Amino acid sequence: MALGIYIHIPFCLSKCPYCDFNSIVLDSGLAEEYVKSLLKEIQTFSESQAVSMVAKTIYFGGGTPSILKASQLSEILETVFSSFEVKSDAEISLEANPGTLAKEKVKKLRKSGFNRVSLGVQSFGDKELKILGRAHNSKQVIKSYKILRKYFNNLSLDLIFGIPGQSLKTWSENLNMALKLRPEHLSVYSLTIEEGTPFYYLWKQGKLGLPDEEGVRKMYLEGINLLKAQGYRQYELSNFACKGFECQHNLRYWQGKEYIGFGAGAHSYFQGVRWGNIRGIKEYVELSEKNSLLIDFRERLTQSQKINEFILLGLRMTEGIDLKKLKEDLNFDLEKFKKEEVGELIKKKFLKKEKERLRLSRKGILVSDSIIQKLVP
Amino acid sequence: MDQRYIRNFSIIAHIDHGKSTLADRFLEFTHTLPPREMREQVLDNMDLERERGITIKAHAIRMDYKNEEGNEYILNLIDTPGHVDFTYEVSRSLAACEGALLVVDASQGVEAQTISNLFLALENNLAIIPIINKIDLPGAQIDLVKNQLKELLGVEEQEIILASAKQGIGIEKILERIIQKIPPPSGADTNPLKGLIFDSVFDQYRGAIPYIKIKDGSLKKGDRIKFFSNQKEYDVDEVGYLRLKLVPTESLSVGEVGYVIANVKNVTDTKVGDTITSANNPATEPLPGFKDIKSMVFSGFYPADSENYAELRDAMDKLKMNDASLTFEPESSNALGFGFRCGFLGLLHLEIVQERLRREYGQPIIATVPNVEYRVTLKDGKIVYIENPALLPPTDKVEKIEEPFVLVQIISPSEYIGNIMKLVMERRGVYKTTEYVDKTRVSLHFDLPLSEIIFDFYDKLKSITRGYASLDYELEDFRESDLVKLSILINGDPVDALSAIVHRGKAYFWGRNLCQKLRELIPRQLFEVAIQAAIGSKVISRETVSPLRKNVTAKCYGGDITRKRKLLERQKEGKKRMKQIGSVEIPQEAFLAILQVER
Ligand SMILES: Nc1nc2c(ncn2[C@@H]2O[C@H](COP(=O)(O)OP(=O)(O)OP(=O)(O)O)[C@@H](O)[C@H]2O)c(=O)[nH]1
Ligand SMILES: C[S@@+](CC[C@H](N)C(=O)[O-])C[C@H]1O[C@@H](n2cnc3c(N)ncnc32)[C@H](O)[C@@H]1O
Ligand code: SF4
Ligand SMILES: [Mg+2]
Repeated sequence: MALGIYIHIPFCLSKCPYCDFNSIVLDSGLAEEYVKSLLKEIQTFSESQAVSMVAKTIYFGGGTPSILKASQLSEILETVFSSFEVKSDAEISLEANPGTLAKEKVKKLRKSGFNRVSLGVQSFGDKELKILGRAHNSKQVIKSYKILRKYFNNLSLDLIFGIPGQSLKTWSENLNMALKLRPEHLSVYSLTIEEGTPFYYLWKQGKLGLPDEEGVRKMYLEGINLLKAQGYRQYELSNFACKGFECQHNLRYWQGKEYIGFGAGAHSYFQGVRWGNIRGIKEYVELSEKNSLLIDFRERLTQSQKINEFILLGLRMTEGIDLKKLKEDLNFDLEKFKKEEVGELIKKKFLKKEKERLRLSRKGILVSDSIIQKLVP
Repeated sequence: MDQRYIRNFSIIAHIDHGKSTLADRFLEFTHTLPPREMREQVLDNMDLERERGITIKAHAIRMDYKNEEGNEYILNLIDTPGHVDFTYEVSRSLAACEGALLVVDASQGVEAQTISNLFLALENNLAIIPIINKIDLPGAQIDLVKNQLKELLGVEEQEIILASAKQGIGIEKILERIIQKIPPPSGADTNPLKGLIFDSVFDQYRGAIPYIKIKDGSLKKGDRIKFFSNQKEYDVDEVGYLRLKLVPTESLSVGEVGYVIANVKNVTDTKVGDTITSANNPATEPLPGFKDIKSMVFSGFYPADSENYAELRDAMDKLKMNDASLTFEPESSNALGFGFRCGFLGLLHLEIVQERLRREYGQPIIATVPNVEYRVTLKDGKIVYIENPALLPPTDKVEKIEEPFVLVQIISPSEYIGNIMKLVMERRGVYKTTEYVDKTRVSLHFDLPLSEIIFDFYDKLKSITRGYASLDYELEDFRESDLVKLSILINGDPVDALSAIVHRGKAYFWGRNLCQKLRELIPRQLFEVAIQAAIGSKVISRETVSPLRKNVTAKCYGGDITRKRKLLERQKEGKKRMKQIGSVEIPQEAFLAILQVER
């Protein structure tokens, strides 16, 4: 049985004001206990499974996984290795922040088995980094990248556009800086204002100074164009890669494949059931110490939920959705049930249909949320 | 009960003159309600009445009263609403009575509904007891109001009772006067049963419950009764009289007011105005019943969720039992699906029906732009009445369009005559006569198109007369006007629910306001949305909603897909409440807000 494995590391150097990921500022004592709990969760899960499972991808996400000591990270990875069957070609990713990557550490990480690093750059402009409240500057980015490059041949950079005060010009500069480094993969995210974050409150008060919708749209298009011109294929709304370097782990999510998440707030999808662990980090550790259940919620997907996810996730990928598969696996004939919507969206060039696949057009990508809303039953 | 000891009366007045408060004092004085059940305007027991501080439904309640001479009487009091939109409640209540208390606010004097409600009482040959209320107010002008009443009723000064419902002044005097002056009910116990249905309620378990006044004969549990209008027969399970709740008794005898429970499951079987008689010994003739009430305004009511059509129909049937002035028949709309064309006595009535459907029956609805009824003469000589603007025949088939005109009476201090004249002229009114009510107050008469006074005329009138003017109107006739059909088009598709028939001179103003309002309310969509107002094929106003430019969820949170899916499902639910015109989604608020657009 093939699986993706996700390991959540909920610690960061500092908390960025736009971020609502499950993470807190590092507390080394807590981190140590947390790692223990993680190991226990992984082992307990694998012991509870009758058949042996093959981990096709392993992804350390956060938070900032690279904030842990190399020894901690490799201990976790070792536990995964001993609990699951991991083939030599498995993709093993680590999310990392600039400034947490000393040379020795990177070397150790590579040796312990990681073969892909995703570096949270966000911007190459120090002014923008400051606005984002990042703990690093652009010089540290370059330095971290150079170290990583020595040991890894699969690197990804995360960039954010639509930053307060950003212009199309500074955004293009960021893109060009990133391209100069020639990473194999780029994630390009439009800044999202998440409820409950400091950015959210500033925005509510009208004090954030975001670029307007039209400006952000142009930045997005600029990204798509520039990256394409440089040989990066957009394979998902926010993800671009050189051929063969698409993130296998994330693709599993979008393709509705199974994965198990370990750690506080981590999510899993396995045998038709989605569940999520308790989000609180201390609670997670405490529950683990008491050998209690770590799960916060669990839901068996209904037919209509499966259909919704199939469309919602599938259309995020540029290859789109397989209408025949939707019909056969989920008994849903999209072209019949949403005849008028599909017809009109194709006619107005928001969607494209080629053989049995339906996908977003370039124009459709810009308004994907609205289109997906129209297509779900 | 010996009918000589029964007195049935209504309390009538202009709005806010203190009817319900006066009723409170009677209920206290006669110990009908224990002190712990008392509260201000206790008969206004509907939430809507309490929130708005007005009476909407007439409320009947029975009291026992031992008078000065030591005789025990049964008094049936009916508190009535004062607002014009609920006048049908008043006229039906009066039919169950032999007398009426005409209450006038000492600080306001005789106002428009004082007069119109008085006329209703006189039509029913009722004994009138004039009462000046609120004499405790510093602004009370007792002598002035006395003169107005003497003039109006031709009564002697000593026949007018001075009262304060607030301070409990004059209460016993009124009760004594009721005994002396209001005749006991006529009719004979020995005649075949004739019970007038003057109101009804629906009870989930016991079916339709008519409220009746026994005009002849008597009624008890086990009797077999028959409704005159449809000849349907039922066995009586229970009879009783009306307190805050229903109180069962052995029987109801001639002259009494009460209720009948006969397991009437089909709500349309009980019709207000119908006569109940005995199945075994039926009366030969029914009672005259009530004049049909003419609806003044019409609006399409559609279930907010189009799947709830059947539930809405059921709710309307039940509500109609308790609101005899509501009329409705099925219709359909391209934007809103299946619904009902409803007739109301005014916009307040419309609003109340809408609220009651929501609160009492859990049926939220969308109402279309209200309009009056039009009489259309076609080229071939045929005459049709149009209650739904969407159904107006094409212009080339129409010879003329006529609209209802009303005779309007405005009572006001004379210093505001100039302002009133100006307002009436703006509303296409025609001046008729002026009479002096007393030295300082005039009663002005005008002809006006009904459509001009239904919409925010009253508020304007109040503001230009500093609240002193009052207004009453009655339908007169249909007159030809320069009327046009204003259509609203969304991306070229006409939206029937938003079309209106308006005077040509005001079409532009209304069309522009409507388009602007819609532009604010229609969210941006994938494509540009053009909103146009047109007369025939001529576009007179246009607004556009620019398309969405960017709308992308950037990151898909690790494996947390549940959250994303739930968000999508919530958005989808919201969408379901939108109405579809072609490919444009219009939120329900757009239809609701149209009601507030200035004409
Ligand atoms: N000062 C004073 N206020 C009074 C008196 N009677 C009634 N009011 C006040 O007048 C207002 C209207 O009283 P209601 O009894 O609701 O009047 P109503 O005639 O039943 O009104 P509708 O049913 O809406 O037509 C309330 O605020 C009462 O408190 C009175 O004798 N003196
Ligand atoms: C889980 S974060 C981990 C990476 C690492 N902790 C960092 O911040 O560099 C993954 C990426 O999500 C993106 N991200 C986080 N918050 C975001 C937001 N509010 N809007 C858009 N992108 C965001 C950032 O680009 C970030 O690199
Ligand atoms: S470093 Fe990354 S995960 Fe941590 S707070 Fe900042 S954006 Fe969030
Ligand atoms: Mg009242």
